[in-house]
Amino acid sequence: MMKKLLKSAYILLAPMLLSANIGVTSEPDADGVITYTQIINENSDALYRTYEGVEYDRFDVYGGKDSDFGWKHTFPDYNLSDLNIVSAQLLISAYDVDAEPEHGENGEYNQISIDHNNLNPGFLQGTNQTTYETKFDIPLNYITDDGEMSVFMDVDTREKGWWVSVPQSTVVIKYKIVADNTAPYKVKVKNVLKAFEDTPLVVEVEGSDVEGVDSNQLDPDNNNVSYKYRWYVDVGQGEYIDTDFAGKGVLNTNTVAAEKVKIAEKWRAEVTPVDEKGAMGISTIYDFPTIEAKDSDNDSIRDIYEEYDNDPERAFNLYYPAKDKMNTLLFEDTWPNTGDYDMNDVVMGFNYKFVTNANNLVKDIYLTLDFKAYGGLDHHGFALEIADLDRTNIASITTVSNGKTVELTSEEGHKGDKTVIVIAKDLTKYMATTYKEDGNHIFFNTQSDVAEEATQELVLHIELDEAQALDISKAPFNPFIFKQFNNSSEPSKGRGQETHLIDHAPSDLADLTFFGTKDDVSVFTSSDTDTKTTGQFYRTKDGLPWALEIPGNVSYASEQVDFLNAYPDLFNWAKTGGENNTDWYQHKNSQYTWKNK
Amino acid sequence: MFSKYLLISATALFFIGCGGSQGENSSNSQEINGFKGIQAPKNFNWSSSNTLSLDITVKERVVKRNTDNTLTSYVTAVENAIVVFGYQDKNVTTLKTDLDGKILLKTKLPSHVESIDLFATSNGFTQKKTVSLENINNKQIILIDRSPEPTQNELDQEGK
Repeated sequence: MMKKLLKSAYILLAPMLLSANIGVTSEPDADGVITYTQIINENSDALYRTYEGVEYDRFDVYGGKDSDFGWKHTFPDYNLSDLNIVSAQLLISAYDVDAEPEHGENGEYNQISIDHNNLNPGFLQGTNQTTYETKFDIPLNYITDDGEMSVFMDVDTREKGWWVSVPQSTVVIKYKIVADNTAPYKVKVKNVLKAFEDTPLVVEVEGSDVEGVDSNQLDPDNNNVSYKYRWYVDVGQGEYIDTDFAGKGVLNTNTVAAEKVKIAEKWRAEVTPVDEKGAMGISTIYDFPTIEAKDSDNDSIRDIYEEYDNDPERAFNLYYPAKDKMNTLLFEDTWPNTGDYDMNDVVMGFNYKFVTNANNLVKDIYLTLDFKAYGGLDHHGFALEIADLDRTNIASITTVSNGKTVELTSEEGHKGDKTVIVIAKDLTKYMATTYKEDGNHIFFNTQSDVAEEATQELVLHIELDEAQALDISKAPFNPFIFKQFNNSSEPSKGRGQETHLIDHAPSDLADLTFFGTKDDVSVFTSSDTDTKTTGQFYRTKDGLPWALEIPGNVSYASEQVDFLNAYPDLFNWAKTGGENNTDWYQHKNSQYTWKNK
Repeated sequence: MFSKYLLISATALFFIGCGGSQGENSSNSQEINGFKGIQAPKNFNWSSSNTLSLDITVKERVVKRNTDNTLTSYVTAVENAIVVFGYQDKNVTTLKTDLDGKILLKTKLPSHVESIDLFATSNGFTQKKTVSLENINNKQIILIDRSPEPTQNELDQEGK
């Protein structure tokens, strides 16, 4: 009961307590700044709920387009001598302002004006069924002309059926009394002819903007002048809103970072001069041109989407197997004999990067090789055939390794225009092996009891004259090793003794007399006796290969350790024709991999 | 007023790169013969990658409000849309659509990969779709659909 009585008493007394609405003026702070605060709400005196003689009683009343209303703020000290206004803001608290940017032009717009002048930006901000306080900067002349600010709100300006309520309106004016000090001049800012996405926006003060005053003079009293910045943006809804409300954060310097500037947006800067004594001048509003797409090289791909902004011949990077990822090539070097199947005679990681133009045609091919292991007695070279690459269309071929650049040409002697490149004539140049006096050999990173050697990378770059279509799903194309030096008693045909991935055709320089001998059961298609590019190659009678490409930068077996021991699941994967254990390469037995890696 | 909705439709072909039939003879145990004991199917190609071929069309749904306040909705192909393809946070390709909004995406994937990510970007708007490889075998699919086509009533009443 007591609580009820107290509540009733408060309801009766509250209007009386708040009815004056003359505002509250603080004592000066340490800097001499005085804060004047005036709140207008449903409890305010009718004098303050009146707009041009019409009394409105619509604070905290939920209504739509027919609920326009106005009220009045006052600032009694407007005509004090030596008045220096530091800041002046109108804060309107409103509920259910559906001004989310995604509504676009159909969103909720409630226009605020003072003394018949629409504020600009001048719309309430907020979100569905929440209360949000929008802060408007009040132009100084609206305050200092007569000390009264008649505020009007045009509810649902665009008449889209939105409703809103306003619990209260607050004016906060900060000012100082400084003898013989005049506010700084309004400034002029540098005009910007074009503005581009993903490019910083900068508002630059050029000087004062007062007729009859030298533009170099920024303050009547020659005080030092600094600037306050406020930014607004129209992200597509047709009106400028605070950057914070638009999701771009609070911006209060003269620059908007590149990543915040998006195509088709409109940006507005508000620059307010402030002198060294804290007096605020009239703000300058500057609208930037609509943000345009930026395509520096005019190749139809906007800079933000391409890797090569200033190169019209290049736009994107394509990768195999993926960016910053390598697959692994492993060779057994005893073809046409089956060897020990440790699959570590030549091991290298590889990654392709294809540079394409705006039409998705390939302009450059980069092949990065990481020479990981060499466990063979014989010396081998390494080459790459890309049958679909027209060798007459190659502008240049280079390799870079250890900082040294070597220019290459595609190998001669091949039929048609297909490209074959000998990348390394002898791989032991990159993966050194040594013979010991006791007759043993030290291989490159295959023996677990021998110290690990640092690996070398080599980058092959093929630049094409004209960009061309290339099916990158054929990567790694047709890499192969070929014999350079034979350490065994077996006959060697040198360059002609090639070892490829299974069913990858030998090059035109391969010695075909090896095929079908020893453990090799390669079969050339009868109609293909000349080109030798179709058939089944480099496989044993049991379907075994001499080379493997494995996803990822995988471990390999130690010297003379059966590769199957290192990857036990491979057995079932191969036996089932790839149906089972498809991730066999992700399940190694480290007991059998080199240095247990 | 234009509301834009980005779509990608794709006809997908997913080739399993490791074909062939299972061998007839039971193999010897790997402990005895190791790698040489494997009897792989006759045509087994030993590839641990799958070839992925996607015929993709990027489309944009445009909803236009007419002067009489009615809505007109239509779907149009997007020229110069950018499609980025990758898997497991790895970028693989970036391609631009042609005049008909089409691109052919063809690449290889490790056989353990079960899904891919597609990002389509047009006019500053990007949509991502993760697609299970099991679901893209030879059929027309909508890879990216920002929302169903809005009705007049939905647009008029939304949020009020």
